[in-house]
Amino acid sequence: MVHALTESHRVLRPHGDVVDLHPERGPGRRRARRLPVYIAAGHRLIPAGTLPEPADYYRRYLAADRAVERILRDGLFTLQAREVFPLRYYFRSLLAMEATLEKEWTGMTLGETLHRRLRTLLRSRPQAQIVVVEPFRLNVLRKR
Amino acid sequence: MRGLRTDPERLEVRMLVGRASLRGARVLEIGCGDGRLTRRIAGTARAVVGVDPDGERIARAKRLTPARHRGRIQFEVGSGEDLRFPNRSFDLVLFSWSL
Repeated sequence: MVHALTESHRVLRPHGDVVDLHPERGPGRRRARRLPVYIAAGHRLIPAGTLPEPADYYRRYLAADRAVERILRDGLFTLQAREVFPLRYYFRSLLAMEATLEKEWTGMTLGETLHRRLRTLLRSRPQAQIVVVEPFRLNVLRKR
Repeated sequence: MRGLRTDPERLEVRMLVGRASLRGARVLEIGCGDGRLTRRIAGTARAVVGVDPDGERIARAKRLTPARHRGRIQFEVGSGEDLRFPNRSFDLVLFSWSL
């Protein structure tokens, strides 16, 4: 990771930017995240529960944070901006969500409680979408 | 992924445009995957090169690139730790979930 940042320093023109986007691991001592899940009904978001992430995801975010801190300490870049924003994923159906969990978001599973709650909410709102909200971190580093 | 839309509000791109010098820049995106974000920033940047170690994702990224962007987007299989580009050849390097 640090090596990739060093390589990016080489290919950047003077005062060029590195932008790093990765999931925000969140505050506190919790070592795995739980992503909030909603049903989008019109302009309303109805809470449905949370989707737990495996702990190894968290370790990857921590490693990314440490790589950024390390490259800043090394003095190759200065920090220009750091922000957290919510990234939203919209699933057309419960089936689409389950397929994504199986093929892309590996290691994440819908718990029985969340599954039941989503089924109940969708039964009366068949056109509604499922929304997962993930906090994302943006770091902007400028080449010295 | 069918049935999934990621960030249809385009908040990610708005954050990028608002916080970094993306407009008119020559951009290298490391870990571009299937090019979702690459295609979204292509209208703002001058040119974008997307790099990813997964050949299947790069092939999909090329297939999904609309004709109007083909002159300004380029995709290559490669690693962020061993870039084949010359020194000082980009204005901005983007790590999209690839650190």
